[in-house]
Amino acid sequence: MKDAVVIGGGPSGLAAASELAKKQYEIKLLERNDELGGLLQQCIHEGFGTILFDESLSGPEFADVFIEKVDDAGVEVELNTYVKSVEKKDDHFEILTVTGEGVQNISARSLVYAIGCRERNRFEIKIGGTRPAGVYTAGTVQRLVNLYGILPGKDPIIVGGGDVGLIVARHLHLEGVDSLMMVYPEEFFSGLPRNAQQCILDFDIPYKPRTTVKRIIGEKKVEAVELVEVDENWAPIEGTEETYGCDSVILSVGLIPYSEKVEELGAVIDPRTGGPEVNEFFETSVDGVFSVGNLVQIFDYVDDAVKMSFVAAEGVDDYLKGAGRKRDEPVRLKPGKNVRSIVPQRIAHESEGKIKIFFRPGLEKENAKVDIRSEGRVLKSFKKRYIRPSTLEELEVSRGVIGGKKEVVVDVR
Amino acid sequence: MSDDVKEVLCVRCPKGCRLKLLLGEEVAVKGHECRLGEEYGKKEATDPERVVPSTVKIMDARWPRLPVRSERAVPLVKVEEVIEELRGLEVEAPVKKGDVIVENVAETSVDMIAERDMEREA
Ligand SMILES: Cc1cc2nc3c(=O)[nH]c(=O)nc-3n(C[C@H](O)[C@H](O)[C@H](O)COP(=O)(O)OP(=O)(O)OC[C@H]3O[C@@H](n4cnc5c(N)ncnc54)[C@H](O)[C@@H]3O)c2cc1C
Ligand code: SF4
Repeated sequence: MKDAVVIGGGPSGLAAASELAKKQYEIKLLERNDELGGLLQQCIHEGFGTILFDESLSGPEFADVFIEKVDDAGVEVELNTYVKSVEKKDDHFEILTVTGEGVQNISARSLVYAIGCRERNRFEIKIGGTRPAGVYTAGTVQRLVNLYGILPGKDPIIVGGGDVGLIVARHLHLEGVDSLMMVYPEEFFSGLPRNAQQCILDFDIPYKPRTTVKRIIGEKKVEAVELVEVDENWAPIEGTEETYGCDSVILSVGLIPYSEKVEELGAVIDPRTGGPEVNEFFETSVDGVFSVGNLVQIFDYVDDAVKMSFVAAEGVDDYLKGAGRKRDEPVRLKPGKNVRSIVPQRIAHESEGKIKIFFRPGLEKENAKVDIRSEGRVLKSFKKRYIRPSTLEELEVSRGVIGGKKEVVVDVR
Repeated sequence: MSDDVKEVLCVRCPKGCRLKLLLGEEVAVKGHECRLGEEYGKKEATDPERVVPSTVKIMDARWPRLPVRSERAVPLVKVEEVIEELRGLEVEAPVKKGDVIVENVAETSVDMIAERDMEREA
């Protein structure tokens, strides 16, 4: 019987596993791929680690720091191991895995899910037309280019102006595609200014704001797309359609937590984040089952994701020791005015210490005020220099502020 | 855009002000909303620099490509030249993280280094 089994060997899983092994627990880490590092192995650009190490590392370099920690701490790692299902028993969990050698059973006292997210596809954003070859998600293209050296086409179009699309645009441009174009429905790039500047503007790559792809054209292979302009509500403007010739379509239209597995176990899913609801120690609504990283919500900075894994490790530690007194009724945290989502969704413990709250703003605003309120009274206010929906915001509050309340709401004005 | 005006995004905070740089003996920055932006704009106008990430072909390794980057930032105008020099380059596994893959790439006095270990695999 393991004290904890960590599922997923990306940065969040690595951080949680090494932290727990350092506390002398017996830990197993299961990863479906044949190497550790998760998404970071394909993110060859730099920009990782600026918060944790005050240094700008590439994805593989950042991952390596935590792979070494897992090694040093004596975590038992199993690669090529896919977690098929998990069953909850009275005081432990039975994990069923599929490996090269066959099916295997593992027992654990607690679980940490760190299985990340998936990319949204064309049907989720309702792109019509035929179904030819040559339609990819941006993450797949990043993998093809950076690990295999394969280009998706000679004249690709990128749909979506977020960070993943921006980074992929630079790779494609530098690796020598003939022509490249980016379209997105926002008024300006939704990714970080740094990526917009260094990936698109630096190289004069053409882009069209307030534009999306209405349908894909082509029988066997992509031959063109029909572009259409959109208004500020992203509704297509009739009569603005135009055909754009291209041989591949690359979608960078958002990431969604991989929450099916924890849902099967009975965890409550928050429709706003798409991930499981968690408390301040990242424990889901199923006792002893924790979730970290992009599975909980999409983090913009891997540094933040990893820091939250450390918090989760403390929670697992308390759980295993039977320490940490839980309240009879948790305090519910709810998104209020101009807030899209909030994590954690509940505060369950009595302990001391500060709580980190993450929220995604619902609007773009300068000098925004953030209020934490309960029953009509403002408990605490924060000032934010500049907020926008594409950037996750963080608040730190001491427990005293929200202690004893039933429900606490976060508003932006 | 005329030759003596350059537009860049300030990257110092999430606001991303769109700066206009009026180039000349004295650089003037417009469109910034705080001092940081002015500072950033001046640097961007005189000598913008970037770290360059890319990949090179690697033989006998787990993956067909090895990720590499410039050890430090190189002048922006040199980025395409750096990439050009990497084209067609082939290395052989094993490689260790930090190994120098190209010395003094494109005469920038900056080296290209490996971003990760790649063991030899048959
Ligand atoms: C294109 C792109 C660019 C990015 N750029 C930046 C950047 O510049 N700076 C920055 O700070 N962040 C960046 N990020 C974000 C960063 O990559 C993520 O925040 C981070 O990788 C999340 O880590 P994770 O461990 O939660 O998930 P992942 O890295 O996705 O790891 C999840 C792991 O779980 C494994 N797994 C899944 N299901 C199972 C199963 N059933 N059984 C076993 N194993 C399983 C997967 O194989 C994977 O290894 C970027 C992300 C993308 C996609
Ligand atoms: S100029 Fe100031 S406010 Fe504007 S993006 Fe730069 S740092 Fe932010």
